[in-house]
This record gives sequence, C-alpha cells and structure tokens, in this order.
Amino acid sequence: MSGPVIGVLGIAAMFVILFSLRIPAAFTMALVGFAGIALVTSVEAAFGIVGTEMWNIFSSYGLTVIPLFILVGEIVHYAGYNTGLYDATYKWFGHFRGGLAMTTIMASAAFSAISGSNTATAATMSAVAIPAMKEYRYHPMLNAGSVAAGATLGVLIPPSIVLVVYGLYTGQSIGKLFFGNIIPSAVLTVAILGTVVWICRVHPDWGAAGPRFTWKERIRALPEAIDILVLFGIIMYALFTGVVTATEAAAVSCFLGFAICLARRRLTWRKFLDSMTDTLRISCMVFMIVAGAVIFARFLTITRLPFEAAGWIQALALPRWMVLWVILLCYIVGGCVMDALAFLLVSLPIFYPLVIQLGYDPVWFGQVITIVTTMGSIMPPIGICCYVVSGMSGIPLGTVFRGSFYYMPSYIVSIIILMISPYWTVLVLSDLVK
Amino acid sequence: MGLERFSAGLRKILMVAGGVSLLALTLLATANVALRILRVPVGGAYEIVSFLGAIVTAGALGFTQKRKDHIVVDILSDRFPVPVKRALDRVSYAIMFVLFSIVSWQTFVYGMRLLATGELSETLRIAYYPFVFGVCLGFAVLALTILLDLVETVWPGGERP
Repeated sequence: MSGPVIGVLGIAAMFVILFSLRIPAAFTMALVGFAGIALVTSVEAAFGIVGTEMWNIFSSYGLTVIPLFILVGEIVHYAGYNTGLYDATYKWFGHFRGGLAMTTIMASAAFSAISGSNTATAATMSAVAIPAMKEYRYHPMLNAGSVAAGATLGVLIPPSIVLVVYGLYTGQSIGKLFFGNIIPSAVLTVAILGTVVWICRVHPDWGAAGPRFTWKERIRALPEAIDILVLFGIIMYALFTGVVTATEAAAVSCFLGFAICLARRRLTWRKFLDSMTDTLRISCMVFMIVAGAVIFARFLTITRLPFEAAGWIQALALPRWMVLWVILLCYIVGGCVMDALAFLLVSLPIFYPLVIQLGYDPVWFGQVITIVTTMGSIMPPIGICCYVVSGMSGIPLGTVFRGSFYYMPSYIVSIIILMISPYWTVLVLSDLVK
Repeated sequence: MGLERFSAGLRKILMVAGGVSLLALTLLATANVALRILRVPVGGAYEIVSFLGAIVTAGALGFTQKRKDHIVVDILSDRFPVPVKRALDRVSYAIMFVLFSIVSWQTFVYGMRLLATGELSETLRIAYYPFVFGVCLGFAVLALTILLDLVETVWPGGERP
C-alpha cells in the first residue's frame, strides 16, 4: 500500500474513532498518528517520536505564550472586569433596539482584547449578558446567539491563541499577525453588530430597547474600560516595537493585570486560585490538541500525503481564488466535525505550502483562516462556544445553534472583504511591525 | 478507594507544581524585560521559561482528565443505548490508558537518555532531565486517572464482585 493511501486511511480512521468511540479529539489524533507512524516506519520509531515530541511541544518557548494569555484573561474575568465592561457598554448603547445584544458583542470584543480564548469569553459573557437579556425578555435565539457569536471574537482579536499557534507553525512573526488582525477584527465585529441590527429590524419584538442614560452616567462608567485598554495597549505596543517576544509581552501583561487587580482590591485569594486552576486546565486542553495534531501531522508528512494532495489540487488548474475557496470550504466542513484548532493544525501541512505557492501572503492567509476557524466554534455539531453558552445559561443547545446561525453571513462577508483588498485590510498594518 | 485517594493527592501536588511554575515563569519573563531595559538581561532566561512551561502543562494533565475537560465528539455515541455506551467507554479508557502509559514510559526513556549522556541545555548549560521526568510524571498521573475511570465503569461506585 502506498504512503498517501495509508495517509487517507489514517484520516478516515481518525474520524471513525472520533465519532464511534468516546475518546477526546486531541487523544484521537495522537493515537492515530502514533499507530500510523508505527505502521509506516516501525514501532520503535513511533515510540521515539511520541516521547521526544511530547517533550518538545510541552517545553516549546513559543507555546508558553498560551498559558500566559489565558491567565491574563482569567485574572480580569475573576476580578469582575467583565461586569464593569458590560455595564459601561450598556450605558452607551443599551437604549437602541437590540441594544443589550450589541452591548454583549462590544463587551465581548473588549474582553477579547485581553483574553485569547473563546471559551473564556463565552463563559464570561454568558454569566453577565444572558441574565440581563432574559430580564428584558429578549428572544432566546437573539440572546444566546449574540453571546456565542460575540465569544468567537475571543479567538480572533489579539491576543489570539489561534494566531499564536499559526505563527509558530508557519514561522510568521506574532507581532505582524496581531497587527494585521486589527482591521479584520474590526470588520467582523461591525458585521456581527450589523447582523443584530438586521435581526431586530426583521423581528422587532426580539430585543426591546433599554432605558437611556445621561452623559454623566456614561462617562462615569468608563474607568473600568480604561484598565483593559491600558493592558491591551501595553501588549500591542510591546509587540509593535519588537523589543520583547510574544511570551514576554504576555508575561508583562499578566504581571500588570495582577498589579492592577490587587491595587483596585478586586482579587481575593479564592479568585486568584480559581483563575490559576482555570488557566492550567484550559492550557492543558490546548496543549494536548497541539500535541495530538503535531503527532498526527508528523504521520501525514511521513506518508507524503500533504505533498501529493498539493500536487492533485494544482493539477486541477483552477483559478487561484477558487482554490482558496475550496480550501476554506474544507476548513468550514472540518470545523463542523472536529475541534477547529485541531483541524487547523492537521490541515496546515497540506494547505499552507499550496497557498504560499499560489502567491498569497502568509500573514493575510493567517487572518482569513482564523476567521474561518472562529466560525467553526459556533457551527453544529461541536461548536464549542454554543456548548458553553447552553451549559451556562440553560438555553437548549438547538436554540443556541439556531440563534448563532444568523451570524454566519457576517463571517463570509468579512472573508470576502479581506479577499477584495489584502493590502488595505491586513498588510497596511502588519507591514509597520519591525 | 486507597488508589483513588493516592491519585487525587498526586493530581493536587502536580497542579500546585504547575501553578507555581506558571507564576515563576511570569515573574522571570517580566524580570527579564525589566533587566533588559536596564541593560542587564538574564542570559538564557528563555530556557528556564521553556522548562517551567513544560511543568505548567504536565501538572494539569491528571486534573483536566478527572474533570473531563477534553472535547469529546459525542453527537453520535450519545444516541447509543446505555449498555453500548458503557462498553464503548471501557474500550476508550483502555485504549487511552495504553497510549498514555506508552507516552509516560517513552518520556521516561528520553529523560534517562539525557541523564546517561549528561546532556546540558544550550545556553545555561544546566541538566534539564528533571523537567523531562516531571512531564513523565504528569503523563503517568494522566494514565492512572484514566485507569481509575476505567475501573469506575467496570465497577461503578467502588463495588467489587
């Protein structure tokens, strides 16, 4: 049997195990990767690879940025900044029809500027926004959908874990990726907000307008947001100047996050312990996905499937934009059936060289792929944000997925805008980074 | 039950080690930035940060498994009858136990090789095999936690035939 055929069988085996057995996605990839390497090379080689590869991933300097960016988000979450951010945004925008849903999305965007994980953003906003929207009798689909869609910004807006992993995997500067991400993030945030406006126009009874606040009350609510802005500014400035690594920028923001929360007496010992525990377990989940995907990708590389697949797609002689949409379609379908980050890692060895060969900019492709990946987190059947929102709010999972479905066009529109002008949407800012 | 208590104790110790490592690497990386501004950088700080990073993740392996935090795609298997689900759980736990026992064993073999050859880190020239053994212990606790999950599915509630 030829290598690429074994590779295809390996992918099929992974999906069979994923759906039929109850083994986590991260472990399934490691398992099939390990078994595949043993089959293609030898059992001894597979043993050697799992031992050293696990150590290499766990001790990767670049990946240490992940627990640090999760930690800063958790500290801010447990210190109660989410409530403050929500309150501040509500006072400014709550009086519009669907204002609470808009508030949720803008507060999610603000929280995402300090948190790199969508599940943290989903959990945070579920606790704050859903009870408020229930009180104003918002329709459950608008309520849960806006929280889930807003939470996807957690992965997109810098610091983004997906961009970090993409950067490390492809050797791109994390600073460039983060700066190149500013306009795409703004475009998607505006597109999601536009969707709320559209939903409320079609279903005026879904989101009642809240009370209007005075300018004094609005301005008084702002200091909460300023702390977050300062932390975000420090991370971005440090990365912009290039004087620190992404890990150091994340460490400094954690340190300052602790300092600010302690100075404002917002962090108790209990909250500190909870933020540490959550950081450790979320980091562990992410690292195991990375480790599983790396072992699986190693197996695919040994089978030469990525090179062959790139050759097949090239042989089709399609226009380059069509190849790109075929790739994006694979990501959308892939994101539906397995964890989006895992799928990204497994598929990058196949698609990345192809995209670069087609002449697309790697920093720009990173933004497009991150938007597609974030979309996967609200798509059935395993959209993680919807699970978190449903789990925390008690709103049925089906309602959350249906509510989130309204926001799908905003992701597609954002990707199209990015495709129309890669320079003005991404490269204009990423090229400024030293 | 004794084994469960032992396992819980190990998980707790490793979580504390992971948490302490996370704080230590935060402080070290921050201090390195501050010292670099003062033009006295800590040479090889990134090596220590990397080694501590390994303990952060390895420390949480058992705890995360115990909480069942890893994402399982159960849309299909959730529709199976309960006895089938229980049987699938047993098979899954058995496979996962074997896999992570191998990973733990191979990480141990790698650590022993570093110890035997006296390999040192590139910049600081320190022996880093203890950190490799730390990762090995993390995977051993993960395997033990999975084994106890397997036992729980075979004899729920600690009952024995």
